[in-house]
Amino acid sequence: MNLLFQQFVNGLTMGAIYAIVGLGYTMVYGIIRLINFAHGAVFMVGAYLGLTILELLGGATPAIGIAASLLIALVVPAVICGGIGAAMDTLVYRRLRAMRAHPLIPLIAALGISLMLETGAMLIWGKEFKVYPAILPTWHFTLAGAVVNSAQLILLMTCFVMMLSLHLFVQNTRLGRAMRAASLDPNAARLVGVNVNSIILLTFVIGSALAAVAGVLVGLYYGSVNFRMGYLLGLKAFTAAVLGGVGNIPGAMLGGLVIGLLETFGAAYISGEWKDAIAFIILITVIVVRPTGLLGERIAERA
Amino acid sequence: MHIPAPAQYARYFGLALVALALLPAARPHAAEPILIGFSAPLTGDAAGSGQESLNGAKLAVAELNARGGVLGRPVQLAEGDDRCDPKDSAIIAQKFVASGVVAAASHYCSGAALAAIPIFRDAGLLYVDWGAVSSKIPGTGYDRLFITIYNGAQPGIYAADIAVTKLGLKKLAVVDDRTPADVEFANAFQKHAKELGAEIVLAGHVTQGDKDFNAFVTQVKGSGAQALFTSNYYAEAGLLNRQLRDQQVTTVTICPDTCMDPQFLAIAGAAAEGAYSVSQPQADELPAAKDFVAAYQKMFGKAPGYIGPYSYDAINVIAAAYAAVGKVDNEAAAKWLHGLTKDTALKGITGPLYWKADGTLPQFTFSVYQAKGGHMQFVSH
Repeated sequence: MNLLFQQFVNGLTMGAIYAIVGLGYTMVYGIIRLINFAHGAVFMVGAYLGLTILELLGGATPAIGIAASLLIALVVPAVICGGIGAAMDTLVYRRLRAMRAHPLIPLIAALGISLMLETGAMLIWGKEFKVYPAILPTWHFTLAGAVVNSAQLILLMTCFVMMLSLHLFVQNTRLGRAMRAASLDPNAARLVGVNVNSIILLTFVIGSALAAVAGVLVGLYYGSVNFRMGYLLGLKAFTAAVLGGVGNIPGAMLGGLVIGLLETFGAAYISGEWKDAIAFIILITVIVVRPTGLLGERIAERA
Repeated sequence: MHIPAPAQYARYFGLALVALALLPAARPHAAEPILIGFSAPLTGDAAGSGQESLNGAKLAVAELNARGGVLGRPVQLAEGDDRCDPKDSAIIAQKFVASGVVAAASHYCSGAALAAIPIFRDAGLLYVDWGAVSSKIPGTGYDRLFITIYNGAQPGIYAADIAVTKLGLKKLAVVDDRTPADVEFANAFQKHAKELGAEIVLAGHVTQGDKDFNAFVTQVKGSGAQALFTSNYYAEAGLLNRQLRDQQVTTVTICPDTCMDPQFLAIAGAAAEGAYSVSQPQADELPAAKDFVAAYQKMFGKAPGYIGPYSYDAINVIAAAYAAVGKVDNEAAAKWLHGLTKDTALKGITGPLYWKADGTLPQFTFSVYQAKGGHMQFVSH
């Protein structure tokens, strides 16, 4: 029993990361029907930025204290990656939209941006693994036989706070309502005075900032980063978005948690090398059997 | 005999990939030299090891010639830079044969060795492999092949000895990443550990490039294993160690030489403490290599690393065989080498040298290292 619960905690941790990264895919897709494949690379850049900031603040023993330097290492990468997201939209996707380009073209541009970010990170930070400073206390507690350590706790709490805040933001604020409106029907939203381009920019900024925070959390949790870390994780987060119903914000959260749990239980009770296969079997099954995902795709509402 | 200069090779092959050069004989000699082909990666990613092995071979040749050569003839090396590339290796092997090379002391990479073996076999060369370790090499069945380094699964067998006999652990877990060499190590570890009376409580698999092994770690926790043998590369081995300690699992980690990589210690951090690594010894840990270490230091101005002693022994194996049969006759020399036993073994600096029928060493002396205070420290053989 306690092993089962430990596996549940393992899966939940992975799932929370998939959910946060998956949100970026789903929010962008919800409005402009673009699968932004550069999103995984933004996550990776965030992880590296967090590392660099922690090192600048003094590594494992920062002068300003652990809590303050952790906060800076989460916020600054979020701001910088939010900027990268904004740049992606204004420099590339918005221009392609203005040209009314074929939907395939932004997709290829996304792959290009992804490669550019990966190669850039490799040139800046090197090909080898980079190790995060051991800043977190080596503290853990045992819950129903499952060990939860400090990195895991911070990761889970941060992810759930971010998910909740995003949900409240989208449901209860004017901007959130504008986002939902743009997602339902961009043209109608424009008619009632929503600046759709600003809303799209905002989704890129929010999605990229969330991905950056997820990157830093992964760096803290696993302790090392490399320039390829965003690729597979991005694909799985995308799977999470599809599973939940692409374009559906609560769907991505649910999808992420489900993928994380299924993958972990699959690895534990089938075999470890099936882990990646399980995630993608889910992807294909959902696409074939229930293309609208668990909670339904936004596109269905529009029809 | 005419050995062309490197520039002519460049013309022959279009690319200057093959650089055969001859060392001048240690002193002028009337007799025709015995040519030994030395093919290794002298440039490229593995060049460091290739150059170290070349130095070991050069030292052996210099010492032989200082003693008057073999059968009154000087020994000369024909060098080839195979860059670990099978294509380059095959071209070099053909050049060896064309230029009158009678024996080869060659290869750091198994791919390069496997490409050269058919050519060596057709020409009847005596072949001593000092660095390529794939089990496919003895698997070629060439009866003039002798290996001076460990082969195939031997590190896995030795690691099982350490776990069961030295550390007295009886409940063991194994993990591999399904790559061929990795599986070979893991299977040999399991087989030998069972022979020694231990129980394999868990055999798992993970994927190369994955970062999250928590599901497997929880299985280790549930299996009650006292030790985990991981033949994964340093990145996965490092993360695995870290996640074991994160879940408060206290198994002893045992790896082959993958954990000797400094990146293993960096990635695992404090969780690496106490991990064992089974590796081929450094030259200065070999009891019979004291003179070699001093001579190497004097000749090249630096300490020998891991591979030089094996190429040094390879040259001496060839020389000893020709001297014993009294002529440069590969059939007789191979027969004589096959006839060696534990009692009549050649005294190599890396240990006693005699061979099983497939050309592998019956026993190989590994070194055991343990991570202490952020370093891999030598424990014992």
